[in-house]
Amino acid sequence: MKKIFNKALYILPLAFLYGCEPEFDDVEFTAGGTANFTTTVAVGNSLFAGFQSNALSAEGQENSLPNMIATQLQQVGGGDFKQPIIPGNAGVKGVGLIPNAQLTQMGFVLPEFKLTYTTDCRNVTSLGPSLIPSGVDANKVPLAKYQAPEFFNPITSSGPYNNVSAPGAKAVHLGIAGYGALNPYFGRFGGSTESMLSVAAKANHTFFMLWIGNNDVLSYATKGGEEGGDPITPQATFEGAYSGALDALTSNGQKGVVANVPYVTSIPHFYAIPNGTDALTQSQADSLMDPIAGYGGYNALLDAAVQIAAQKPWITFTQEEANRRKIQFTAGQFSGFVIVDNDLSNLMDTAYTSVNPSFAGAAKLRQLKPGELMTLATPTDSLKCHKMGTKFPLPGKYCLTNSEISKIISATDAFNSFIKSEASSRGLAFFDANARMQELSTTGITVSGIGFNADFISGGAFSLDGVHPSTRGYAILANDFIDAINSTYSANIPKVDVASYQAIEVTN
Amino acid sequence: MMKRRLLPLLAFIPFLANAGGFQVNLQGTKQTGMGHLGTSFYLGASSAYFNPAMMGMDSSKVNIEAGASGIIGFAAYQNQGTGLVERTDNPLGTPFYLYGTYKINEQFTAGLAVYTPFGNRVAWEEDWSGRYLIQDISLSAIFIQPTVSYKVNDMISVGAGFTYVMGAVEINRDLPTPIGNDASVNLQGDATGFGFNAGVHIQATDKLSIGITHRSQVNIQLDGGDADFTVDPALESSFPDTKFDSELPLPSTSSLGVAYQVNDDLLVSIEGNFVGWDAYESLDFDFEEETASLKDSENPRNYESQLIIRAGAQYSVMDNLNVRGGVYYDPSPIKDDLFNPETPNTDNLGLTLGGSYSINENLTIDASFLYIYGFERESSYEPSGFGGKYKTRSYIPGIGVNYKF
Repeated sequence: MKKIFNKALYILPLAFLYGCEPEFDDVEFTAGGTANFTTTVAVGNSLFAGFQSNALSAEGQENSLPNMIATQLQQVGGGDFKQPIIPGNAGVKGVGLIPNAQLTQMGFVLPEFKLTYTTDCRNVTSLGPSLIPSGVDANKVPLAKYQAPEFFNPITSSGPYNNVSAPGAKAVHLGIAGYGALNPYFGRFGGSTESMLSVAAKANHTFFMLWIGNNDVLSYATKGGEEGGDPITPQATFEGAYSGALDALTSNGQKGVVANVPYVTSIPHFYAIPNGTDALTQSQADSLMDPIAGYGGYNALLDAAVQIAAQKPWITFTQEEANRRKIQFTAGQFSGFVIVDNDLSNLMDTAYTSVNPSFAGAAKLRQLKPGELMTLATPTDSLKCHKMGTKFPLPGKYCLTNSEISKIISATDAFNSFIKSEASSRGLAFFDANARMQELSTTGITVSGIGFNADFISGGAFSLDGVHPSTRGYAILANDFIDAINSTYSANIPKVDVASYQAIEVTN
Repeated sequence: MMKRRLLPLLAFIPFLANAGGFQVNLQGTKQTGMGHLGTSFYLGASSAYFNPAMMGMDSSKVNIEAGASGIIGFAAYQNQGTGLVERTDNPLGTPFYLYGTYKINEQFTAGLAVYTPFGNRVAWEEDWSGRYLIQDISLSAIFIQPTVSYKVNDMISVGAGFTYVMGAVEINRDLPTPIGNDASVNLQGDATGFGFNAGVHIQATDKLSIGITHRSQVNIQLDGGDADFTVDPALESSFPDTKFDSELPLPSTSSLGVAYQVNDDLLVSIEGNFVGWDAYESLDFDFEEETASLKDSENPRNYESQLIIRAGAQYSVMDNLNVRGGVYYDPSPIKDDLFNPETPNTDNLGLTLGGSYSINENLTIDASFLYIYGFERESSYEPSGFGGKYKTRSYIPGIGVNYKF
């Protein structure tokens, strides 16, 4: 009896502590019943492929937006989600095609951007994205180092793949048979004869995710607009390609989710580099404004042109245009970079040169205005040390003028209104990615105590290329897509924990 | 990096918030046993805290009480989007009290009270999803209160004390820097403040007594605390180790209690405590060295004042054995949209049991047990975009000794 009593003394406190922590009813996650998530296929561009920091890597693919969503779908009955994973390679983590890659250069790849310390032409060391590890002279790294054709070894036989997304793909590319010959990212898993949509069909999907249309306007923008030679997809072409893609993806009555196109003019790629300089010394400014050899002469010609045009009714050159074109650099004050703007009047016309031969050298120059944008591809050493944008006009491929920005905005609006009407007429879930991007770039977004905005690097939402989201940025988008799916299909798919994903690290 | 040493004593008394906000109502083992009420009837030297007017009500010359509690507290969080459940891993909290009264004459009694009515000790599990709001916090405050009471007549007594408050706070949380994944900040410092505690006791009839008290708000001022940042070397100039100032209001409590001696053996009492939480509008940190990334921070709290309702009874089983029981309802002062997991305080129901055994005429041993049931709430801290369901439970055994002569 005493023994039992002793035992009780020992056990009772344990029994008491058992279950003394508060417990919750499990959150009920459910597929809802109106959509079938058994087999999901994702069709898209770099944003769906898992592209980050200028490259596609296995790690980026693991954290791809469709993979994050599909992993959550698996908790409500979704199946495996197979991605065409890039093989690892010592020294070259990811695959970014070298700039302006042509077919003949397929297999030359660049590693992903690293966040590292670099020293500029003024001997100022700062932290920024770089292709080359610090301490290595970029000019002495042979291109062959990045010749890594094994990245593009064909893996078509290992399909079907659930993530049929290719960096660079536009809406107009989705239906092109043989697109793999044009886009090595797609060719490696899609082969050289199929289209992206025909490869997607092999997955026999019951549900799809489609995010396309970004490159139909982004490629124009990142290449500097008109000068880039990559025009915005015409609206009719876009609509035909987009509805064709949806016809294919819904051919068996499948449900899905689509997203619209964010204004690319809100991404950090266009804000990282200021569109002018405040670093001129007095003597530099004086030299630039020289009345004969510098812009002083140009400004005088503009006024002269107004006088000439006033006397010749068949040509037009207003004082307003002259003022708009006049160039002013002042020491220590912010002054916009000089560009060649082909929308300006031609002063090399005989109407002017016959009066004053100096007009033969009058280029269509003006300074960038507030709101006009510079691309991240602009060589900053040329700006800082080689007078690009001041004495020498900034090449048009490095900037977006207000008229180019207007074209981008109106094309995006037209794409988006079509995407939304297609989504609603076909009963698809719709994520307003553009509204979310505007929220990010204006008020910012705060998740689990982490503040995000659209600033380059410090904003946290974008990777080092300033175009593609960071891993945490993708995680926010994954939850946005899930919200759209949940509300359209009465589902409750679990969200991802944004705070559990990693931020960018410095590479030393 | 040198960390300033806290007062060693303070470092030993971390508490989980087990009453509204970060109030800790465990100032007497006897009172705790009956719902923590004691404004309107005398239970020993602890009246220096509960109602200073009553200090002279015992016939003995000297009355000493000391005691402590052990807080075993749990809080849990459930994210409604991810389904993830995360918990606190709080160390044992040990608030204590020490009271002494000396009866100068029939009218005047002097007393000294040392007690810990506010504190907060919350340690969430390592790397939990809310770590950018709070990883762990330790807030403690010791009140030292010299007190005097005056018996106006057989019916009315009054009393008042001056309180000197020593506080200490330490906060650890992760920093959501866009670069690097191991950034964190440690904030710690010591603080002081002043206040008072005053009461009136009215013996309305032989059986009915009434107590009214007011414990003032105390603003504890923290000057020159240490803010130590652990960040990627690239960000060190953005987050320099620096000093900070802050201030925390410990709210006022106004109480009205009524006790009724049903018969020789049974006493019943009810009381209400109105806690002036609306004084806690914001938790601000004023950093000595600011950078583009490190700005003075203002963190809205906007607590709402609340009324705690308590009821309890004491029954004398034998001459030397009393048993007690009580219940109270303590609504949370925290708004649903400003609920920060640093103080995971829910609406609480407290159930208490207790007893006292007198070994002889001079020495009594007290014991109590308090169970706090925290009602589930779904709340978020909107400025940080973090929320979900919260639930709490606390188990608090207490022990005290009482010596008088």
